[in-house]
Amino acid sequence: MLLFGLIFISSCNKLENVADGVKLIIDYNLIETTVDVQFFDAATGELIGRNGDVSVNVKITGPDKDGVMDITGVQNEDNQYSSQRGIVGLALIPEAAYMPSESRPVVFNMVTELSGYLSTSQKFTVVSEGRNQYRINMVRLDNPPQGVAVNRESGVTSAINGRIESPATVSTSSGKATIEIPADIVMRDSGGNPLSGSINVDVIHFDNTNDEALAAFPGGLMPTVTRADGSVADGMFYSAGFVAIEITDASGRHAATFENGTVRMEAIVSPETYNPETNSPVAAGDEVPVWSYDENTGEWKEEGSTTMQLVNGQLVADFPLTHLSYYNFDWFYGDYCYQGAAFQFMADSPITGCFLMQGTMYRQDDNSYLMDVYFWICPDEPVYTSYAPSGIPVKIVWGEGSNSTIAVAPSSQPTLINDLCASSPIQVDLVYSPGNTTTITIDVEAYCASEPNVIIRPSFSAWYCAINSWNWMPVTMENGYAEIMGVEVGETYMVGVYYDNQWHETEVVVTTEEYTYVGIELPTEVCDEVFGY
Amino acid sequence: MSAQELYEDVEYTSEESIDESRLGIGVGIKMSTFGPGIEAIAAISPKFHLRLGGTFMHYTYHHDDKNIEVNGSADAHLSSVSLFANYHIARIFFVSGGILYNMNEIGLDGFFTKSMTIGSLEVEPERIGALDFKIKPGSSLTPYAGIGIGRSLSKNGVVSFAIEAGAAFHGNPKVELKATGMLEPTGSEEQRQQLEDNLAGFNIYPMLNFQLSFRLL
Repeated sequence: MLLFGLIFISSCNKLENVADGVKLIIDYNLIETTVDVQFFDAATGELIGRNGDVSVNVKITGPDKDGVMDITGVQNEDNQYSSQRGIVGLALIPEAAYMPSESRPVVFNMVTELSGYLSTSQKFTVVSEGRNQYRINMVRLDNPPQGVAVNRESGVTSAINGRIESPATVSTSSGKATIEIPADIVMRDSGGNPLSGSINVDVIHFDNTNDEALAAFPGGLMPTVTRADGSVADGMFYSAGFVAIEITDASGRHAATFENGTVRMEAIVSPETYNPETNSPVAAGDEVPVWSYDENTGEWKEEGSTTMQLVNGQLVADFPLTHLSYYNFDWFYGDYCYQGAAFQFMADSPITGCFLMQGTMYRQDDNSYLMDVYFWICPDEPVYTSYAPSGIPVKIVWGEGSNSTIAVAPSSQPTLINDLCASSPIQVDLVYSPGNTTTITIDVEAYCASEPNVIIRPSFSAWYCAINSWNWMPVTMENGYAEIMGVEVGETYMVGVYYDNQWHETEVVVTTEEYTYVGIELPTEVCDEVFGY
Repeated sequence: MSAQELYEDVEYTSEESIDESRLGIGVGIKMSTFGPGIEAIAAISPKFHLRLGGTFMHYTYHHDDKNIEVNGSADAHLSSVSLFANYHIARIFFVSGGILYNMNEIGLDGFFTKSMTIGSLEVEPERIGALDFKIKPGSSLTPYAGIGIGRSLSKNGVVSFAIEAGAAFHGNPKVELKATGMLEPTGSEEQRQQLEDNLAGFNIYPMLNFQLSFRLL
């Protein structure tokens, strides 16, 4: 009996150690839809703040703003976020109300601001779950891209209690946009406060025949508009030019409304501009709608129309402004589809991992820039166009993808498409040349110091780039596991993640195919915000 | 038969009084750490008994309290088929040995009853998932050894009583670990192996058996 007593006692002691080394491991896989946005300088093509020196301030507005959050599941106060390394990683709340579908797209607007850059915004229409990649080109006012002319003049006139004392005229250096401010007009900011003191004026003109300018077009060329009759429509702009005007006083108040008169805006329109209503270049006598932009909603409002006039041999469009905004001369084409044709990316040899393909879409009618497109391609998963113009022939010129080993075959460069909303699939041929590259796997586990036995295996977007290249490419991490294909043995790469308005990165010298990062301690504030401990 | 008579049946059993020619068979009921069961006993000789038995018990405890975050259940499935031999080494003492077909299985499961708040998200219990943990003997065929007092088959009477303690050597326990939802990685092979390693010392299952037997022939 003594023997059995000892056995029991021994067993009890051992029971205390049964759970030793065993953890509660959580697959932090709550996110179904991610929205990754990269901010580029429109002139240099570089990520804004790639060195970590500046951050773009982002505010989410629009009908589904409450469905947008940080990828850790935290929704910031006032829906405001800031970029790191030129990247913002957001996600949709995985609730039924924000489950994107063709019948119920999730729509929100991203208002972006950065000192020294023209404020802009971009509307996002998400129609399916998965990874969504976007690009916003921002115009640096002291170094604009080709096709964008900026004139910033200080002290052009003055105001007393909102009333402009003397008339002023400000033009861009190219002379393509001019505003005329009459005397005695009263200017107030959006809060109804009158401007006073010295008046500064910024006039920025976007040339509609220049691709760089169109790519930096605030709000893009696939907008939601409110027509003159009050109806709301989605569709596509055929642009005849864009003018951004900012009027500020000495206190920094921005003019928003006018009383006792109008400000005259005049723009010179390129004769190469395509008029879709006449299917020919624009001509004197053609009528073009005028739109104002609400950057909070990312939507354009039809203010009226103007008739092209021939003045000194140049086509001129002018319009009296009753309030201050960004203005646009555009023909609107309202036929589109939320989810269009399927793309089939066919490689000449099997590709096992996921990768990103980027392209620029042009309209075939006038060969003008339409939008940047991104496709996140995974084996055996269909890829669809979303929010595409219907019945309009377009072409996609493919750029570099996320992987240097994958290129679009000459037979598909560019890819010509008659109708993005047709049911027939669009085939894009790829050439896969793995060469001296390999595929590495990364295994990540993190924890909070206050709960070391709870291990978190993250699932969200990550980024990587060759060291010092700054060309961050996306990679998906699921359940703490990420696979990066096409990296070169011996080369050094940076792998980073964006969450909680912060950027975290690590350097990886590729010497083996498997990298394990366990025991990463999460910042206390993240543990507190996300897990509550 | 009273307890006193049972005691006397055990008490009068002695080396001197054993009738070497008295063979017999009987049946018994028992309550053991393998659960309640029955047994057929054959007395090959007064000192040597063969026992073929079986046990079965299934007990489930559900902890169901919506006021706390985690509920679960414990499930004990105890069953065995045994073939033992008893040899009386002294007046009322015997040693026992044999083999068990061990079908014991202990299970625990747990699941969340309330949503969890993660950041701005309310995560439903179904999404969080559940944990299911089972322990089985390392070997189904389990050698057994024990010692006892009393008789598994009465020498001269009808009823006998025996108490027995021993150990079944079932080998290092096998662990099944399953997890669903967000907890799925908790059920990884590494975690399961870690639990098996931690339980590796528990290779003996203690046996305590109380048996009441009836001589038929």
